[in-house]
Amino acid sequence: MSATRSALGRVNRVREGVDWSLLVGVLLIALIGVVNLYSATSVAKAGRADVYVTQIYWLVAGGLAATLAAAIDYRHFERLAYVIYGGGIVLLILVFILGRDIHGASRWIDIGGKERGFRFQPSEFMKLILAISLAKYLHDDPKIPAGPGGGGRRLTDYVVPAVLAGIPFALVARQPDLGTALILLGIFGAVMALTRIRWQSLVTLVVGVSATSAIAWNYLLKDYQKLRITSFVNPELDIRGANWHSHHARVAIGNGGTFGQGYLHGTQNHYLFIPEQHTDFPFPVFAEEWGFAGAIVLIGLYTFVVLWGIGIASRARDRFGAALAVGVTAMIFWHVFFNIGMVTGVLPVVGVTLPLFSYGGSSVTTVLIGIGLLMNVSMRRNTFA
Amino acid sequence: MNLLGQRPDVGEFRKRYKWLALVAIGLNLVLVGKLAHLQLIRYAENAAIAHDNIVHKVTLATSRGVIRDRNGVVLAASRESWNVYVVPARLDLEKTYPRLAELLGLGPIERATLEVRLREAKRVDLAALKLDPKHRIREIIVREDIARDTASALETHRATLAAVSWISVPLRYYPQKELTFHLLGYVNEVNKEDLASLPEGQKKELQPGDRVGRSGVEKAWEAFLRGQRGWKKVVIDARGNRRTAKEDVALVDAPTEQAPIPGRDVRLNIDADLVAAARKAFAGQLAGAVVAVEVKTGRLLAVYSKPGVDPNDFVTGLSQKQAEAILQNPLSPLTDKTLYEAYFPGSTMKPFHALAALGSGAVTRDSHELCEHVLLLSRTRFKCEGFHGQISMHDAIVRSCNIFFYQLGRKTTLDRMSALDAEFGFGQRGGVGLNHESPGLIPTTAWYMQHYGGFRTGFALNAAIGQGNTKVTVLQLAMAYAALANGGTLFAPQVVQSIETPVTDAGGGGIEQEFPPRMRRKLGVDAGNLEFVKKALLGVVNEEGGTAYKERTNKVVIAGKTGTAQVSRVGQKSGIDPHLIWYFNRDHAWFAGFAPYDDPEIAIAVLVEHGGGGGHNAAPIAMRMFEDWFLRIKPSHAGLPAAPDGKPQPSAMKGPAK
Repeated sequence: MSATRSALGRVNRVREGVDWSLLVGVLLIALIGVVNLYSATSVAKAGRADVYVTQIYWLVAGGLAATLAAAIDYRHFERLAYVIYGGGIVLLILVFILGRDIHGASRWIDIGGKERGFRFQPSEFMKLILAISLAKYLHDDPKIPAGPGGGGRRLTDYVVPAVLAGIPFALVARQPDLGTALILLGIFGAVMALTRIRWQSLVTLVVGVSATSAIAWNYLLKDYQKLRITSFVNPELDIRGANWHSHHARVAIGNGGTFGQGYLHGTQNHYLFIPEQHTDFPFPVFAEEWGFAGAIVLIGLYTFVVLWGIGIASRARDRFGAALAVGVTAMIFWHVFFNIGMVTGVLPVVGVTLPLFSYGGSSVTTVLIGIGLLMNVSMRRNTFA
Repeated sequence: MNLLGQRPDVGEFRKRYKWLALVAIGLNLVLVGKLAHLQLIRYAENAAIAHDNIVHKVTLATSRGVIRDRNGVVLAASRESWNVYVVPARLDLEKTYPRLAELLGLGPIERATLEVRLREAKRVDLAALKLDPKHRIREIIVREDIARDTASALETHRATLAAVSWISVPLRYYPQKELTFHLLGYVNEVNKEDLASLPEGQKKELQPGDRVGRSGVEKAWEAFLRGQRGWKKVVIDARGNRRTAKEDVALVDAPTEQAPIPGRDVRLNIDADLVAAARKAFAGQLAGAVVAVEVKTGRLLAVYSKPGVDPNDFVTGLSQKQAEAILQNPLSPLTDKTLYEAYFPGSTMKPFHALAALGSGAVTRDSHELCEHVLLLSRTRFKCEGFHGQISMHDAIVRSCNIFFYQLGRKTTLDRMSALDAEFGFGQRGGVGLNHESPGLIPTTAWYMQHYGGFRTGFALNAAIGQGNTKVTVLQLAMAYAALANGGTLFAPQVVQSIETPVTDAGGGGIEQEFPPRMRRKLGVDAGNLEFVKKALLGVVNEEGGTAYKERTNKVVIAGKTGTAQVSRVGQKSGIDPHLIWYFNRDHAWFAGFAPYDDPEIAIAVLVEHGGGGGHNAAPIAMRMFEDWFLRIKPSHAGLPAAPDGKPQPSAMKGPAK
């Protein structure tokens, strides 16, 4: 009897606890994403035509994983944070050993054989793992400010989180996967922005970083090393006309005008001028078909999810929850900003997916698990320890 | 614990959420701003680029008109040829190029040179593409007019020849080769100057790679022959594939197409068989020219200048070796000797001066002069070829006595002779409109005053026998003899008979424009005098002692006049090979005449450059042509309409002989 009551109570608690706004926002984006994917791939080779169906499978699978991520009390993640971190790093190293080469970069690990099985990208999950471990670090190291107005963290207080972020950054950058590496950096920056740094330390940091890089660039680095860096910062420039890609992406977006060419009627997509339209460039397809109005709605939805995520962080019951929510939100935000910034020409071309818009199992599951974690933090804000 | 039940240590973060939210909003506004810029402010520009990305104007080729002779024999047409192009930026120089070079049969040097060129073009294009995504990469022509089996070999290996294409282009073809070189001229590729000199508004009519007429009929009738290219808008996707589905075609904005206008066909008055007969008759001579004209219309039946070159060699461009051989040939094969060059006419001018003398009353038909081989006039010796004694005007023409005509010239005066020469069309262009027709020269007293600072009677004496400064073209002589033959009507020489619509599957072949005979003038010549002179010309061929008597034919009654013209002496310093100087100092041989005598149909003028005596060397050529015309060619064409009735001969439709 009491067991039944307790079970009912748990269901009730879940129903009340579910963050319906977040759920609806995410589902809307996913729905639009699938609809757009149908249009994006309808023109391509027959082999890709059913990509949107696979994407639905991934959304379902990701949804299940998200439910799991939301159901397990996040304090378990807190407890196991560094174990998970260690596992992530091991997987990243394994990529170099087992990884398969695609377009000159090894990012994937095959599971269940190359033909039948699927492959996954450890670097995708590393973003969540980094958010978890940074949150764990801040949780364990409160550094309550000495007094009102004064105090704050010194530079030395950032050494450990910097190492935590630096190791996966270096490994991912080595693959090379600059886009994901930059996202890792962005997550690190956002989570660290939560802390209070001493203003003297901030000044030292800014001056130090700029001076070091200026000196290194002008005096220490040889020309071929500089070339390596420039081509590293913008790797695709040297491979095959990245300019061509971004040029046509911008034309397609511009061709959308105010209200777009209409669903399935985007000419630039239809005549194959948009490259990688199902992975890195789904946004131009969308913007051409739905115009400025559609683009505003989509960006609005993403902004809503991001602001809601920050809201969840602000109501989190502990430092781990707050930092985790910010980390996950930052991941989503940077993905959106980098991707749309890249296709509109605000940023150089770096391969970064658009959350829930781009096709891809690892990407979809990662984002959805992240949403699950946000939900987790949101649901447990009132839990008394 | 606060109101939310939060642990107190979250306080460090509290002030930061607002800033994080503001940064997120701010950065997203940057995106919105950029989108507004692309989609709202620069919409028109981007929409235009997007449209141009997929809708392309492709040119629709036109076809150059066919040139036929009066009987429909094709003299110039287009044949299929294949050109090989390569897109260097897309070419695999390691795998594809060696295969291509092998299939094209390139020699080692050619192969290496081309590879260097392609490698450089590839490098330049790839670099340019990196800077400007809109950069149009080049396509380079690597081989023109490849053999048919090479083209099929390429076709077999199509799958392994990425970035290589071979395109069929129509190429001008002259089946009669050198026979029609001067008449038809040739076409070759336009150059930068041609394109730059096009008047505004016609800039699109010619594009690099087009071929235009450079001389002869091809040049003079270019406007009719060329036609006008058209265009069509098509939808092409990013991979270069043409899309033709209904919804694709719907994207094309009006106007969608401009049909090409095919070039008009041109039908000549020329009879290719008679030109071939001229060539045959000329077989024993090195250089010279023939013009045959229809006496009653002025239509040109044959023009032939020897030597010629094969115009087909010009179409694809001469090799260095070929060009040098042509330019160094002392017989100047490029010169149209029928009308570009003017020559001393010699005794062929005598009939006109006889008419001038009779017309002026200076001499009568019964006048005699004493020929003692030499005439002394103010210490200058004027010579005759023979020793004719007392000689009548009739005999003086038949035997070509110079002494008689010196006296005639002295009595008639230069200006009276030159006035009648001018009446017959000498000293003026006839208006044939080809190859920079020379006007020749008929000197007058005024001309001598101007150029020699004074006039002497000797000038008139030399002019009387067609020497001195008198120069005529073969064409002028033929037209003037036609005027003698037809009783005093001077016609304009006409090469083109009509302009016709091109023959296609849909029909065509109809006459668009016809050129009726064009009379220049009725000559003010007394009919009796004319009859008298014609009778003398009959005697030249048919009376014993006539200068062409030995070459006469009994199959056609021919009247005419021989001429042996002295040439300007060339010396050791003229630049001519010393071994050839004897040849270039030899007299020009002439014959001009018409037939049949009773009712003349055609007139022929023959010049054999440095042929020697006109009777021996030029007359036989004319005789053979007259024979060929009346006994062989004319009867064989008897069943054919004189003018086209809209249905060309079957042979004319097939195009060039294979």
